[in-house]
Amino acid sequence: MPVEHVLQVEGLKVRRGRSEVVRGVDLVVGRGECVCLVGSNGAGKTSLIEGLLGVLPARCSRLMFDGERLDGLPPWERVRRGLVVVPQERDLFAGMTVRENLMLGATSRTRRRESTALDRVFSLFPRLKERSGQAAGTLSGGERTMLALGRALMSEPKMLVLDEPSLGLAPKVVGVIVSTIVDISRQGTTLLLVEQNIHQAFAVASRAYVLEHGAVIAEGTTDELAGSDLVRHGYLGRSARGSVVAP
Amino acid sequence: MNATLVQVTLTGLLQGLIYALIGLGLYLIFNVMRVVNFAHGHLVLVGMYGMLILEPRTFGDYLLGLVVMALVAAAIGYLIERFLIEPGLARPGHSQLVITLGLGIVLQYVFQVLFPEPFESIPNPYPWGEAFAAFGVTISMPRIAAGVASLVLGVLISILVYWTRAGSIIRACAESLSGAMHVGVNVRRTYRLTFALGAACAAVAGGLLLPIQPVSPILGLELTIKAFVVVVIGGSGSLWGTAVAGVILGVAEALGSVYAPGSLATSLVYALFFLIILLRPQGIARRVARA
Repeated sequence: MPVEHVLQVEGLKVRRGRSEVVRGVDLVVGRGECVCLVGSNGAGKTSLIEGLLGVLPARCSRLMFDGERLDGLPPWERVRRGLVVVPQERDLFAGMTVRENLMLGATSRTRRRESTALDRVFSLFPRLKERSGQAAGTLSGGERTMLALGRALMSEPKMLVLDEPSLGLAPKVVGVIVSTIVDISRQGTTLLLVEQNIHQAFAVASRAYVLEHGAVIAEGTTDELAGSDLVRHGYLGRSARGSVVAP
Repeated sequence: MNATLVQVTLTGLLQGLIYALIGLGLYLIFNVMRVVNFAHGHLVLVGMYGMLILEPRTFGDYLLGLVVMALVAAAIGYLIERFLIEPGLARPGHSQLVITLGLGIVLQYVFQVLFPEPFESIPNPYPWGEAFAAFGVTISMPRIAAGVASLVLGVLISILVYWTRAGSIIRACAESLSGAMHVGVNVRRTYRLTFALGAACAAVAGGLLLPIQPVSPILGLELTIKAFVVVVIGGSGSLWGTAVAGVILGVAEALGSVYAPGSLATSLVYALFFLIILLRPQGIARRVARA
């Protein structure tokens, strides 16, 4: 059975200022798939996402999303078509309540579907329901990540892009976020997970792209890649050595 | 209590409510777009000269004139944003500052050419008499009506901003532009409409001001500065801060004009401005919670 692609990118080049930080990337994500994009700090992961969304100037030979061309559309139009990004900085509305933040997530949807989407988010994150009247700026780091995820889910995206969802969180909270991401994926939402932490990414995703200096240097299923020399030495190596040294 | 003091304070309060409405427009534009509109006072003049042209003879005509001026100013504001502000927003630096300042100067000369007669006004359009008098205090009817109307409009705009879906989108853009974009808000359109709303506030305030204060082209810059003072004193916390700041400015100005000698009156207002900046640089109503 042929895999239906939600996202299909060919030859994506993204500029940040004067330098080209993403240099010709090909990427596909199938419907219902959970794909991860890994790479070290500065590899161009966030720039790639911003190029996809149209925040940074990008050129490509092909950018198809759910059967439509995205190039030329402003970022909010891409969001309205179902390509939703949870940015690294979360970009919450700090002075507004948790509930207001969530409702704004449904800006592009009809009112009728708002309440069902809200119920779904509250069942995924009961903590957000408890804090629904609180200002987003007063939340803890973990709660803010939950809110950013919840806000993104409110629009019932066709594909959700998570930019370093575990960045800056306590290990215990990371566990909660990761298991929620797994839940979201199981419920059928297509995911593109952008991670520096390759262990976490490989535990969740079925397929991976490894990005270095703005180019894909390896791709494949996470099982294949986890066994490959490149990934073992370049990315899993440090922690492997660490476990040898540890008593 | 001294009747003069009461009269002066009440007059200042009513004038302050008009300043608050002008400031509200500037506040919305500044908070959403981070653009300081130095032509804001000249948009007030658009309302004043517009009413002068319409020359309302009856109360009904006057009300209709206010509505027309609101729509005309909104259209002008939309076009200013679309063609003058928007192209510069993506570029670094603060080109909008120079652009709005230049626009103000251009408008001033346009007014000077079109209306060579200085200090024109319109007669009292309200059907409830010339003035209200009680307990030795006399306040002119246009003043009372303009103050009350400004207050009502301010409350209506607050309702729009805090209790409607459109308002929550405006606030979202003010809170985090990137966040608004990530939830699919058409940021460009929100900018244009916010600028239109701000311009409409200014022009309606101008229409309310005209029966009280004769219009002159040089009034624009003065009103811009007053609106700016109101926004800075009010802080970026809420619309209510802007309203309170408007009243403070109006009362200070009125008291200064009576109790301070001659030309010192105007400087008194700015002395107060600097004092508040020094003591409360965050403004009088700034919220603390920020992420």
